[in-house]
Amino acid sequence: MDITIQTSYLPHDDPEASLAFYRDVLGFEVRSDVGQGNMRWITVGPAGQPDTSILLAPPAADPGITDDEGRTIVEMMAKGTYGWILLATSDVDATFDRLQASGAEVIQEPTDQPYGVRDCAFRDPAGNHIRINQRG
Amino acid sequence: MCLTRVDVRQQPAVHKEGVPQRLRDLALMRRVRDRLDREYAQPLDVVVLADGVRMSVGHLCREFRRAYGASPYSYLVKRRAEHAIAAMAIGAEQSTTPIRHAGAPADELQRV
Repeated sequence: MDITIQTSYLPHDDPEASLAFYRDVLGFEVRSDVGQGNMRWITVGPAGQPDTSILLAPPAADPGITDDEGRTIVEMMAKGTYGWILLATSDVDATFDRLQASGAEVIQEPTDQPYGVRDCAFRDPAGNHIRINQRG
Repeated sequence: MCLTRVDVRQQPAVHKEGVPQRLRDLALMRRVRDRLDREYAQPLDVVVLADGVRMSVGHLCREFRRAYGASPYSYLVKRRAEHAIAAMAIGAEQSTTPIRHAGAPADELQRV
């Protein structure tokens, strides 16, 4: 078996706002951008890691999702209980300072967790939980 | 509650154009919940919480319960208990702080 994790998914509710966060604040490359209006599928990822991407996509575009389910998803995004991702960086404190200075919504300042990790956390513009670990 | 480095009043606005009021209220509740998670070991002050999102205490408590199924106080007690259990499970020295606050001081109850 030779399996890598290539693309993970996070929903957006405002493609331009999400693009600005991932491209301009996190410094990710934009690898593809298709669709228009709110129906945009945008692939982003860290420079130097072309094999790992995040797909930013509209939350309820699957035609198998009912209107009620779509409403629930959008509400869960707004209340911050839907999307989640864990990133890592070599200097979590410097990363925190840079993101906070950009005006990003802070969840948690850099903290030494009792389970041995130092991390911080933000919300992306769609309400997704972006947690960032100090790389060991 | 005092913040060291995060001032919620300086967090980005959630009043995006064209976003329904319900979703804007939920996004504000998200701020409140994240703040409770961040400051779970501090005494609860719902007046400060409400002030942080420019709501009355009554409106905040109603909207929070609607979003998360519990009052800010009940949510905080659950969070503190989780932290205490997790800390005990790994034998961490920090376990005393959440355990101490998991018991409800009377002045907190009166403010909720």
